[in-house]
This record gives sequence, structure tokens and C-alpha cells, in this order.
Amino acid sequence: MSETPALEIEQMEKRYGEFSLRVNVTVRSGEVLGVVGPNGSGKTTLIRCLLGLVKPERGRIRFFGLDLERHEVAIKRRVGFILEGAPLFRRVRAGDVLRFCAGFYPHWDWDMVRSWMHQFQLDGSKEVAELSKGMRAQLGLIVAFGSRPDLLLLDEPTAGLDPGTRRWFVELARGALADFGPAILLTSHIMADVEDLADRIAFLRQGELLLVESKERLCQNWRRIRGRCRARPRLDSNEWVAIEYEAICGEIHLVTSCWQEGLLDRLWEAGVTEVTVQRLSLEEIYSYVMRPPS
Amino acid sequence: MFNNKCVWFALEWFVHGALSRRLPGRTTCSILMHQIGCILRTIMREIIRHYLLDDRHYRRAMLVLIGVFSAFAGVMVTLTFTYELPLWYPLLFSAVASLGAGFIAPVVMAVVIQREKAEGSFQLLCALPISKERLFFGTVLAAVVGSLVLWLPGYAVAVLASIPQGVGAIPLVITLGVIALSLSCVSASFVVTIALNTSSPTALAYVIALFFALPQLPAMLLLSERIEEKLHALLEPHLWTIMNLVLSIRGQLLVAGGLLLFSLLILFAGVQLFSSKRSYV
Repeated sequence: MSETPALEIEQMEKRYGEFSLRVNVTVRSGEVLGVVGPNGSGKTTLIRCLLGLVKPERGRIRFFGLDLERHEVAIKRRVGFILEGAPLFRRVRAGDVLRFCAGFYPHWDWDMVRSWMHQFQLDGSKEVAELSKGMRAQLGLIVAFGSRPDLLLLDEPTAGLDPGTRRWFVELARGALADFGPAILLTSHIMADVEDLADRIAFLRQGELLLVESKERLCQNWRRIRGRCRARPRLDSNEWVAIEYEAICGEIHLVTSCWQEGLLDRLWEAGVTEVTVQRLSLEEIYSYVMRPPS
Repeated sequence: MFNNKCVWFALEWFVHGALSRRLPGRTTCSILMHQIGCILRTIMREIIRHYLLDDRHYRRAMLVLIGVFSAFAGVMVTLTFTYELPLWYPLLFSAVASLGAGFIAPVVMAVVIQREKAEGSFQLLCALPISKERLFFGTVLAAVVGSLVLWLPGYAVAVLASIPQGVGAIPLVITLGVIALSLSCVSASFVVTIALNTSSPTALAYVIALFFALPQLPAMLLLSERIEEKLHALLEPHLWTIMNLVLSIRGQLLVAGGLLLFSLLILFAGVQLFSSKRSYV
């Protein structure tokens, strides 16, 4: 695996009126980075900046060690992508879309593309507009994977798809990872989409990257603690993401993003008893990270 | 600002080819032609095919227009040969058809580009590994090729009608062709430049209408009596000289060169605008 990162985004900033997207992140070769965030958080703008569709106001974007502004075409030959809503040429036949896209990539794998077309029963003679939404998504994925890229930029690839097709997408991406090991930057507002594939997860809210962490560390570091206490305990707010105390029944719910055994001692000292510790699902972690600061 | 990218793009192809592909016996001209061929092939292969052949709307619009133009051309040729019409009849038809083709084909292309922008697939085109300059020139070239295809039936009328007139009609037919082709280049470069650089169909419609309406202004001024009298007095002694100039190779080169230069200026400004855009969404 190459030492050069597949993608480096340094202090990138893109402004739209009052909205400002600020990103500083690296995707290592062969790594899958999931970018999650609610609608309007800047995920699509990020992908557009990376594909040169919009130019950021400042910052530096490098793919495989090459600067995007200087080596745009050379970089794009090694990058596959799916844009939001998979906008393909609607008045062009599916087979012609593939032939057209293949002309721009030196390593286009027709054998793989034909086998997928056959597997998905995609009719190349049909116009894109005549295909169902699921089939269009499949065609978009074939376009993205067909060049056997070193990096894939996937913007909400499963948006609007049924669970079966979503499952199919995950299997396809896993197959590609095993076959030619591309790095993947995958955006979604649905945690389950990235949970299956991502090695690291970046949480984006209102244009700000709040947290970039590996999936394992997220699972290790985040805990929910339930306990009982007579009065609201005094706790260090830096250690706790959420503190909910119900005075009537004396129950306390705490969530931490930096779990360690020592926290239990401090809770004991603060008067919290009957403590139980639970792991959080990524979906729950997402909801806590995305909570607006109180 | 001088666009270095465009110049390097052209030079790169020429120098690379001249150094690496020069074979014994090949002249500079043949190398130049080969290089022009290379550039055209690379750009044409995908972008032109995409617009002219792959896109159903463009393909069908062109087929309908070719059918209409060919039908009119067929009628005109039949009339010319059956009733021995004077030469200026088919020539006038041919001129109008050629000019119409030169203006309609780029406008159809502009509509397709705007449709692609509206449905989002233009983003896909811009995200593919192709430089913005190539995308721009490829699209303009596709519009020019579309004009050529549409221009052929009308021009065929002029060629066929000139046959009974003998050699004397040849300069007139050539003049017609050269001017029509040059005007096609001007209108293709202008219309496609505007279509690529604006995302508003309304703005596009206004600008195109303005572009085609502006040349009518001097024509209308010429029709006013006082100017017509002055112009008549001015031109009458030189009328034959002017006619001879227009029909001569020198005059044709002058007119065609002027028009091509104008379209190159439009293209230069267009590619600068397109490649320096901050958003292609």
C-alpha cells in the first residue's frame, strides 16, 4: 500500500453567503472515510470542491501527492465518482454513457463493466431516462468503479434507494475494496450507510468538521452510563457529552466520548450509585455529536 | 490575462508530434495536418460524438432539420432544372438555407447544453478527466460540425444549380460557401460560448436574440433614404470593383479571414471565461 495519502485537504474553505465549509482532513491509501452530517452540512459542496466543480476560496487539495489545480486531468483519471442523485445523461443510451465515460479513463475495465451489466441485467440499449431509480444508481456505480480508480468520491450513493439495493451497494463496494483496494470518501446523512464500510468517520455539521475518528475508537471511547443519585452531581463538563438528571426518580444518564475506568471512581465520589455502563451504537454517537451545543 | 493553458495545449500537440512522429519524406504541412487531425480526433472522438450522435434530442432535432432542408433543396433543384430558373433563385435559397443552418445548429446545441445543466449531467461532464479548455473547444467544434451537416443540403442546391451556368458561376458558389461557413463559425462560437458560460436559459435567449438582431441595425440604417442616396453615390463608381473584390480569391480570403478572426476572438474570450469560472454547477 502506498505511503502517499490518497487525498489531503488542508485548510480548505468554501463560502456561500453566510455558509462556510471548512475542512482539514486526510484519506490514506486504501482507507474508507465516511463523512456524515445532516442535510445542508456541506457534504455535497465538499465533493464538488474535490472534483473541481466549484473552486474553494482558500486551502489546498492534493490527490496522491499532486496538486488539484495543477494536475486536474491526471488526478481525475485515477478518481471515480458518484455525484448527488447520480445525474447521468438522461437522453443518452446506457451503453453509450459507459462508452463515453470509458473514453476518458486509461484503465477502463470493460470485462468488469460487462460482467456487472450482465449481473444487474442492465439493458445498454435503453436510455438513462427509461431506467428505474435503482438501475440508474447501478449504472452510476458502474461508471464510478469501471475505471478501477485509486480513489472513489461517492456523494450519497444510496440516497433514495430501497434497503435491498443499499445492501447490494455495500457488497459491491466491499468487492471492489477486496479486488483493487481503492481509497473511498463516502458521504451520507444515514449512519447505517457508512457504518458497514468506513474505517474512519468524519462528522460534519454546518460546514465544520466536528470529529474525525476511527470506527473502533468511536466504539471504544463512547459510553452511556446510567446511575442513581440524590442530587444533581457536580461533574467536569469536559468529560461528559451529555448529562441528564431526573430529579423526581433520582436517575442520571451520562454520555462520555473519552471512556476510561477512572470515570467510575469520580462518579462514585460525586455520589452516583447503581452504575451501569453501555456501549453506544454509531447511530447514537451521531445523534450526540450532531446535537447543537446547549 | 493571456491564457497560457490554451497556447500550451496547442503547442504541446504540435511540438510533441513534430519531434516524435516525423517520418522521412513527410513535409511540415503534412505534419501540421497530422497534428490538427490529432487534436480534432482527441476532442472530437468523445465530446462531438456525445452531442451529435449520442444525445437523442440533438440527434432527432438535426434529423428533422436535415429532412426539412433536404426536402426544400430537392424542390428547388427540380424547379431549377425543369423550369430553368435564373441562377439567383437557387443561389438566394442556398444563401438563406446556409445562413439558417449556421444559426439553427448552434442554437439547438445551446438548448441541449442548457438541458444538461438543468438536469445536472453537465456536472458529470465537467467532473470527467478532460480539461476545461478541451471541453469548451470540443463543444464549439461539435456545434460547427452540426452546422456543416445542416448546411450541406442548402449548398448542394447552389452547386447543382450552377452546373448549367458553366465555369462562370463557380466563383459565386465558392463565395457563398466560404461566407456561409465563416458565419457558421462566428455564430457557433458565440452561441456555444454563451451557452457554456451562463446557466440561465432566459439570459441565453436574450443574448442570442441581441447578437442576431445587432447586425440588422446597420442594415436598417442603410435603408433610410438619405443614407441610401449617399451610399449609392459613393459606391456606384466602384460597384464593379467591389463586386470583383468580393468574387476574387483575395476578397473571399479577406471576408472569411475577418469572420474567422472575429470568431477566434469570441472563442478566446469564451475559453478565458469558461476556464476561470468558480462554479460549474
